[in-house]
Amino acid sequence: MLKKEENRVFINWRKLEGDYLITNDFGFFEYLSPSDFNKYQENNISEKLKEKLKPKAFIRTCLDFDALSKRYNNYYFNRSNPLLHILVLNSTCNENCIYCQSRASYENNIGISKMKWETAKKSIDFSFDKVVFPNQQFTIEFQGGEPLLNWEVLKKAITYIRGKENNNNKKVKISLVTNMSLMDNDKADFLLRNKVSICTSLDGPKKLHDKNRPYINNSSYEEVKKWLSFFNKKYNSQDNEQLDYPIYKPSALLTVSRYSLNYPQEIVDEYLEQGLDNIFVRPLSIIGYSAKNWNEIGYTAEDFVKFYEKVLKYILYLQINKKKYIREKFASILLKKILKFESPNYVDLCSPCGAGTMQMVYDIDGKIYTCDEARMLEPNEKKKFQIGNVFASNSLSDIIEQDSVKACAMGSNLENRFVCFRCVYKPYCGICPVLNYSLTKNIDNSMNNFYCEIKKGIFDILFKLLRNKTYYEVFKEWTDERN
Amino acid sequence: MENNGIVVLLNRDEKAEIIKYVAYTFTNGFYVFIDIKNNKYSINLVPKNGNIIINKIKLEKEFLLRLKEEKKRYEIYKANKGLRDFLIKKAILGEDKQENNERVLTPEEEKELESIIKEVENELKLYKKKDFTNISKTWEETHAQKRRK
Repeated sequence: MLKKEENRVFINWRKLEGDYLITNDFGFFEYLSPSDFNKYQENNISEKLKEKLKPKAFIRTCLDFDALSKRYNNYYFNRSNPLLHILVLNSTCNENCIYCQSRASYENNIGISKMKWETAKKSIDFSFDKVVFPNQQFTIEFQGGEPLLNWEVLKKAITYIRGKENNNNKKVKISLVTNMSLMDNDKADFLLRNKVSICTSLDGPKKLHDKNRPYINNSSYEEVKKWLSFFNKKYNSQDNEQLDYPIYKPSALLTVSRYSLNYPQEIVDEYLEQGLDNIFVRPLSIIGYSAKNWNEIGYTAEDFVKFYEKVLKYILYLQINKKKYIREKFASILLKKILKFESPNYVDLCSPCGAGTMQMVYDIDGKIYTCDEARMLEPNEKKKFQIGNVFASNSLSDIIEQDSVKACAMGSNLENRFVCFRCVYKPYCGICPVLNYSLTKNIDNSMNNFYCEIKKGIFDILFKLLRNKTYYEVFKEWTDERN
Repeated sequence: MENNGIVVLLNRDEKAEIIKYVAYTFTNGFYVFIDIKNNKYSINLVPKNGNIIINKIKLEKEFLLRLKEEKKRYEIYKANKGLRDFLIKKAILGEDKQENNERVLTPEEEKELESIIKEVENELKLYKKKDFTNISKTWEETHAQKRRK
């Protein structure tokens, strides 16, 4: 008897609304009825089903090897050296956010709290001279605590970067993450002239924002509102003013605490009210004050996913019925992967993740860490993720060959992971080994934990919505370059 | 211990790696003990939370369902392993890497490269000296010697 021709390729699957969602290594997906799914599994594929699955590389005998290997290469191996460099300018903050991951409240003011100019300069030199190659565009992001508490060093650093950029034939995007509380006209003018992109936090309407982010002097919400309006006006009027520098649209991040869960629509309305066109709905990371206050402010993954679904559906409702446009940023990143199989270099969703290979974090004392999450760990834990020091003469290879970089890469490579390897969302997902470590004390343990459940829940929502033609069209729009 | 959880017995012709994986997927909520008893695999699932009341029939059914799924996945994986390896290798060695290769090396990288080349050359010289098997000689060198004999 002749051996039956093998038509199946390696797939993963998940039951979704009565049907089966299947994906393959090349990021293609398809929905199959239970009967078609059985036929596929049994290698008993009808001609009709074959025709349907052929263009998406699900039929082994009809694969275009060149195109598929190129697709795989572009998605997984098109990486460069680290292009995101985060400088922690200040470890303290004038706000006392209930979930602060970096424990940066005004009470936490012991020991060194500010990055010295010498350290900032060394960090910038390090990124320019040792990490980034000629003609490469990269990002330097200033964070804290609250970086504006270290204004003199920030100002010097920005001026230094712009000067160095001209002399070194490199392009730098400068980004500042601030709570806006110390912003004033002079600072704003300096930042705009130096093409600094501003990102702040906005947790929703005044009452909710101020509850999540208490400010030492008055309402943190009022400051955010005032300065978002200022930067938005500048952004919108730049064409009329004929400036010789571009102004970036300000952006904001939403952190969802337990107090936020009842206000999905109000939060989206607040973002629209403040002229924002993106909302990044982020769950709490169980780290820092967030871990400490978990009983008061935390929630289950299921609670968060329900909230996320409400936000997403409200956004879709507004866009389709009211012509009001705002995108959910996390969905946009995932959709880019799902619909275009493009990797938007969002380091937390790469496999392996970008810890130490796509990003580096320079702490106030000049120590270099694999990623933002690592520098937020308790001191005796974070030293495990230290990969260098700007005052030592580390080369790029010294850093990349550190055990912690390798461990992060191994721990976040989904091909290596028992459960992830078999997950239908593997082609689009990524895990943060440091967050897993902080949760389980095991870099390798990501199975069905809080973060995994949230991502699976969000993927489920997106793949259910993608079956609807109207939503599919909206989502396709979200994947364009505006992101 | 068995009274607190369930014991699933499976024939020895089941693949151990499949059983191990399925058992692993239960480790969030259960302690798993795998043993061989009377020529059968014995998988004992004991709830981590001793107070929890489990539906033993449902749990066993769930275990067997996951086992069935994993067997199917393993079968498809096996059938495609060679192809998968080939395509991933092809992707890694992709021809479109030229742009990256044309990148100018920094002086430090050049130095590093030179030192690596020197190191390898020295190692080769050393190796040639110790090459009792003549494996490092070219085809012509070896065969010319034979002919002379």
